[in-house]
Amino acid sequence: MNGSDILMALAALALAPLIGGILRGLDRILTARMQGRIGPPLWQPFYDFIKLCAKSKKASHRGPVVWAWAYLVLTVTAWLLFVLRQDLLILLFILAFAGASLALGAFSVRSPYAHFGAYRELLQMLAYEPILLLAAVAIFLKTGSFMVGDVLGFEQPLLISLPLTLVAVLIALGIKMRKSPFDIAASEHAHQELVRGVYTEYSGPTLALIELTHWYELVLVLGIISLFWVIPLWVGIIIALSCYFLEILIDNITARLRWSWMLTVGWSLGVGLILLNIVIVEFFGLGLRL
Amino acid sequence: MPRITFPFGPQHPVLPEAIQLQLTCEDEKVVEVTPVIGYMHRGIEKAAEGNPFVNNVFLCERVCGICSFMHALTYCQLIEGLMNINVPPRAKYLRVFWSELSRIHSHMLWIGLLADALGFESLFMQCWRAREVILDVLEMTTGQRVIQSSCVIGGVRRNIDGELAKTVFNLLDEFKKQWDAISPVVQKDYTIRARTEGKGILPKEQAWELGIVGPTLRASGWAHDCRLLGYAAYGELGFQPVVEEGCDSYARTLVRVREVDQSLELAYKALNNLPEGEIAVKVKGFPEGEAAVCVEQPRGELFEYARGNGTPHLERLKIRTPTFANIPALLVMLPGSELADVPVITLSIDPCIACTER
Amino acid sequence: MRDINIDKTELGFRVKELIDDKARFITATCIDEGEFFEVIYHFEKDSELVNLRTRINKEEELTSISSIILGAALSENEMKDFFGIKIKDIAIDFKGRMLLSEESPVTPLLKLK
Repeated sequence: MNGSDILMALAALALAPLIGGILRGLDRILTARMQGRIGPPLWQPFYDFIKLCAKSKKASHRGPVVWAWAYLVLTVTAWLLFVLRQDLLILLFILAFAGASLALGAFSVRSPYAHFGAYRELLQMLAYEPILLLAAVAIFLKTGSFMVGDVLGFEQPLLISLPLTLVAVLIALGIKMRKSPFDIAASEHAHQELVRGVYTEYSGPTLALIELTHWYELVLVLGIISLFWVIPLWVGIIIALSCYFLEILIDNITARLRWSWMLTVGWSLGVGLILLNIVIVEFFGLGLRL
Repeated sequence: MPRITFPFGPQHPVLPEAIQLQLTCEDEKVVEVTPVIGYMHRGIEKAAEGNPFVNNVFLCERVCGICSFMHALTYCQLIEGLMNINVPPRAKYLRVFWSELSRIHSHMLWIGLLADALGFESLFMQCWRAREVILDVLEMTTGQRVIQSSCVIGGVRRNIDGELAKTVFNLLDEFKKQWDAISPVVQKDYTIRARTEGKGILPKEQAWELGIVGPTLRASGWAHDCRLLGYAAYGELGFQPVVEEGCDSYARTLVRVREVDQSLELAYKALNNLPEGEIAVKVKGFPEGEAAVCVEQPRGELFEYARGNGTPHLERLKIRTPTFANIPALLVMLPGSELADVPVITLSIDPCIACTER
Repeated sequence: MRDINIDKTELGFRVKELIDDKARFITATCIDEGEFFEVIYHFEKDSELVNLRTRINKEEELTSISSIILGAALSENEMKDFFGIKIKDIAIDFKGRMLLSEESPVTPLLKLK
């Protein structure tokens, strides 16, 4: 690791929450506009964050606080691996572990809301992890490497040969962003049967910590999506942002569905699409030379 | 997974009312339900004994914040029955008009809450925005948005005529436009149907035996509607109750959606056919004897019983609100359902706990 | 409105008869009449109101009809809350604490002497 890498890592560490927070602010404005409201200012997520930090530290138990930190540290690690152009597979596994620590945090208290939320969080992971892993495999089959650096160096845009994979990753993005119809373990606002599911027992600074982690997570997942068109990179970023917009749109025109439905969609549609994509690319050679 | 007792309420964001359902769950399956009420009992029946009977109109109105007009109407009809008062026809039509507006705004509120419980926020906002138009009409014609106080013993307090009627028609047209955009979504949206169809089944025979009322009963295939008794001007206006055979939450949603259309039609009809004449008669004397009336509220049949003793104070006033009769339905619908469906099923009876406990 | 005056012992039998006749239970009202309680069970039968009236001494005990109509359990609990009337074998018995809480006054609807 050389000096420029360290500088870049530091910049990424500082910029990701900023971008993530702005994106969340945009989300809230867009959502409001779609519902015919004006919505909060763009900086509202940051105001919320600061306000949460200023609250007194009240926790029902020390366990969830520790797991919240684990969630943050692991997500940040995954983000750094991404920025430093490391192995996509390791990155995804670390991300999975981060998600698991959120569920474990909820399991470490005795609140039934948190427990049910944790069960559902695990089910959600069961739904989206195969999609993300298979997407990584599809990328590997195309580029011959799991390294983000190699993907970045790959000349041909991945989207041309892996369009179905992107659609599948969109499903994973929806689950990760906790948007309808996938806001099952914890919806964004508390109007759900589990109140806020896995987050129910968090408050004040610890909740702020989780909010911060969400920003990292959002930027990371959008980053992975932008890998589908890296040369020039701005096209990839636009693709990622349009995916984000699409998620917000879908959130507003659907109701929440059940976890069994989510698993079916994740496994049949998500996994199916990627497998189909791999088969087309590998065995029929389509999309190899375009 | 061991059994977990899951407290649903009394303070739960999905259910903005103070009822607690203690759900015993196995995995995500609900195996046992115990409803706990008593968080907001206000002793209205006791207070009604201490008040002069004329003042009780305003007390009864405060039983519920949504269908307040119907509570006042029921009490007025009860006392009018006791004292043999003949209400002028114009007042009867105006009572129908306001009753139907109350029903529309209650149903719009409910559809919004259902959408909110399903995580369908944009529909929620739309419904409540459309409801504002109705509340504007109510405010314009009675002076108040929610507790209208326009119904008194012997008639009504406000008249609708000339310019005001024109404005009201314009606002109703405006509402109709908004509603026509919302109603197909509620009826046809895939996600709403997926979450409500086949959920919270209340079999036809059981619904009757439990004494269920209102849209919940009509969604189980019974053409039971107190408006058929022809109180106020319903006998002259004529109407057919909305009946669905589905017995599930989706059928209950459909009943309410179709009732909004029906109520709108009745409101137009009542206002178009307003007879000329007085809007109230003077009340003399004190109530004596016994009377009981049923009125169809947005949530179902509201039953009131009173006994007067020839003094300004009633001997006893009994109010049985529709939700009180509908709570046993939850004991049938919830066991065996999935935890994720509990909010939808609970909402499908349109619980009004403030009414229930009075 | 049709009134049927009955004795407390035939209550269960009369209710069963009405239910078999496709009547629908509406509610039950209790009235304090000094020495007695008057308990009225309201039913709807063919769009007509049918009242089953029974008078009992304040010390006497009524048998719950909730085994015949589950829906009556709430009404019976309510009477128990408000009047302290003795009703045995209610399907879900809240023991006079359904609408009232531990701190609230007991039997608030009894008339003051």
